[in-house]
Amino acid sequence: MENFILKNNVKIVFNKTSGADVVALRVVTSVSVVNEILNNAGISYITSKLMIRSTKNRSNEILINDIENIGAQLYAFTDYDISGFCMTFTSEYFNKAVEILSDVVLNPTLDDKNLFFEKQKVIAILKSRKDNIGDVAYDEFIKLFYYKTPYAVPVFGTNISVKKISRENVKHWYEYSYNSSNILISVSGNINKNVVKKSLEKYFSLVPDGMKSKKSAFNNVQHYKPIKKEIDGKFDQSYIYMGFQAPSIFDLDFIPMKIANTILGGKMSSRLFIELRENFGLAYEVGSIYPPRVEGSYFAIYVGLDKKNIDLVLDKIYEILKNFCVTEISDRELKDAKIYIKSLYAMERQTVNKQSYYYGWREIIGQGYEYDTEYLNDVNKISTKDILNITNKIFSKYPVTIIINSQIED
Amino acid sequence: MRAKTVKYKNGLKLVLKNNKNNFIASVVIFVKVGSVNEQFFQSGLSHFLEHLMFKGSKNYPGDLACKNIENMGGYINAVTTKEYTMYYVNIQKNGMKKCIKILADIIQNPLFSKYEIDKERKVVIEEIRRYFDNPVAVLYEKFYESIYVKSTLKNSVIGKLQIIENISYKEIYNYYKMHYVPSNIVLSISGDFNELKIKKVVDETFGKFPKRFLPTKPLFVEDVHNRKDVIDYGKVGIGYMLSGFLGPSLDEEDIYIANLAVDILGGGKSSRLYRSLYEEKHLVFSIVSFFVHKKEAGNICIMSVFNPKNMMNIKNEIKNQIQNIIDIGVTKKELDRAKLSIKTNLNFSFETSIDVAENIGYWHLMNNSNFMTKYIRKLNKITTTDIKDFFEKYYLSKTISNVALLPKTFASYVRK
Repeated sequence: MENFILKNNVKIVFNKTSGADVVALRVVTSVSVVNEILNNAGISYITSKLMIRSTKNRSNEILINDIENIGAQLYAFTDYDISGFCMTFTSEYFNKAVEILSDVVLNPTLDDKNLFFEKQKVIAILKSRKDNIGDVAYDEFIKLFYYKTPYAVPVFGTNISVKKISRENVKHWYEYSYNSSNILISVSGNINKNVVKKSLEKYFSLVPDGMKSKKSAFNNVQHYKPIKKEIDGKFDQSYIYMGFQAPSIFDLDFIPMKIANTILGGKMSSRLFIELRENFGLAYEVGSIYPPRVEGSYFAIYVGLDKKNIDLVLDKIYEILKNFCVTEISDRELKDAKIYIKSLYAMERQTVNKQSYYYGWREIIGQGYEYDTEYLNDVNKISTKDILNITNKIFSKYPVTIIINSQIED
Repeated sequence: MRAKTVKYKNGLKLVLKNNKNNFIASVVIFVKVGSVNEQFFQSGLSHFLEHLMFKGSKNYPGDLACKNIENMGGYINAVTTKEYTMYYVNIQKNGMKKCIKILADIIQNPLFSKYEIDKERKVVIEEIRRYFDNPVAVLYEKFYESIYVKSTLKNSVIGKLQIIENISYKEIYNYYKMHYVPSNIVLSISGDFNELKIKKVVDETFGKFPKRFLPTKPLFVEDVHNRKDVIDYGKVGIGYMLSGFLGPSLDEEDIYIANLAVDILGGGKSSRLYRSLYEEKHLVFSIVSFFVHKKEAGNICIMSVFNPKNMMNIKNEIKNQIQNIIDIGVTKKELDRAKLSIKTNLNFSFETSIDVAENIGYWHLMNNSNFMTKYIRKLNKITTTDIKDFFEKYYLSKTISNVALLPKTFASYVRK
């Protein structure tokens, strides 16, 4: 892996592969949901979707045809901390792909007609999220957990915020997001470095300078008492989503907590899975999640279950967490978890698409693309004591719990 | 995509595809049993059986098999479909041999303890509830019931809750004995490995499964039948619809045209359906068409998500677009674009070891091991006339079924 800088200071992260003749070309911006306020929530998502609809040089039809005439695919992505585009294609079309993607980044039309349709689509997506029990639980959880911060709403925004977004707002957000101070380009694939360098210099050195993204005023959320909300669902299943405050990706405790997550609910032989599903048959869907976030993150446990088992499962979860804080995990359990994390890491990086994502993400959030490989060394350094320390910190805090009650009567 | 194949005396097929670039290997076991093999009183049994295979075997009782695989850094899972059950492990290459031994024990020596069966019933019942809480899953159930009348392809994979609650040990065991027979199994392995060493492990494990008789399953050829229009009003916020009609079976030559034809119809953003219904008329929030391979009769399937008030216009426009291809044909440019799209997707599908093992294994299971080679060769020769002829042969306005799921509030609106 290596990097180089274009004339306009845009950084390129390049990973040369040796397998199939395929390439992923990714433009990443540090301006995303984390920079939004509740009033314009969803603007990063809408802006990136609008940008890939047409450019000043290409109508929608021409843009789509140009992309598909080289067998490429282009999509926009929006995460909480980063946003951007990814284009995948075979190596022979590299120059053409760069030219098309640069047109999208430099010359989007962002017109009113398309904005109206994209807003309708977002409102439909928000409606369809209410048809999925996991989404309902998650959306309610982040609302209470991240109270009034940018992480408190889905990346799509809210019905109210999306309706308010105007063309002027989008134009401003586009200029803020896709200037040379805020973007980087991540390329992964079986392609010659000089071709990459020359082509990106030709097209992407034209990206203008602009305002550097400002870190949002993100007050760390504190909960001074346990929060529990019960909702009457429209589903046959019931659902528990319980989350605790957890370290951000920059915190020294991030990796110990990542390992703790693996042992608690990150695999089929995890403690939650074994106890709730294998030993007692109380659930089909059971696990835990600990997403890497630039600002504060959370550790959450989710279980889909029969309504009559809710109290029993909550008791068992508390018991598992309590034991985890009292008794240090064994060396063997730690070793197994590390091996699992390392192996999953390799599986996750088999495709050029995923490689370009991880390297670009590490670089733009400030860890540096090289850290993606160093990360595994840091995993190796963690001791059983580190795990005990972090879990005692995390699980002594008050959780936010969402319970969705099944529509089926007992 | 050349692979080495071995057919054992017991009937089991081994497929080995070496890929020196990949640190991750995949071991995939296909068993040719799925919901198509079930009688009405066994609905969901193939899937329940898949769960039970993880509940302890002779040498790995309880959850030891999963634990051992995960402790080597492996990811283990399984999936049941209408036509087969697939068990798979992704693992770093050094763990392959042990992983093959564990999987062989799972498949050959399951314990099926009554205690574990009763515990797992509760888990699968939760999975069934979860499944029917998902509107798209409900839609697929109804779509297959509409499009297939005679064929057991209409059978539900997830099955019926009441059957899983009551099915006996004897029924489960007999079903296992009948279908988990070596000649009904394909073992497909992809990754960076020494072929001789891996083959030796397979010889000593899967290769030694006793040969058993496999009853032949009657083939129900699905006759073309009139369309069904089903509208369900449920607990959804927007409209979902699957539209479709029967296509060629895996043994027909048209199978090579099907993907291309359906790609031109609604595969990408330059496709007919996307341009018309999404970009020009704004009738849908999303629309895509795909061809579903099935041994007996495949289907051309169109999935749309929309504002419910547009449903009638969507149905008409889908028909118009297909009729337009039949009447006027497609352009050479459209054809070339779709060919390139398919070839590019194929290139990307060789990136992960699991995709490679799954692809090769599937075509061996379907007794069409040369499919991919023939497909790439034949793809170049397909003409615009072939596409027109394909739709002319398989599409009739009166045979396109539509299954829609709409919000309850729209019941009176649609009836009007």
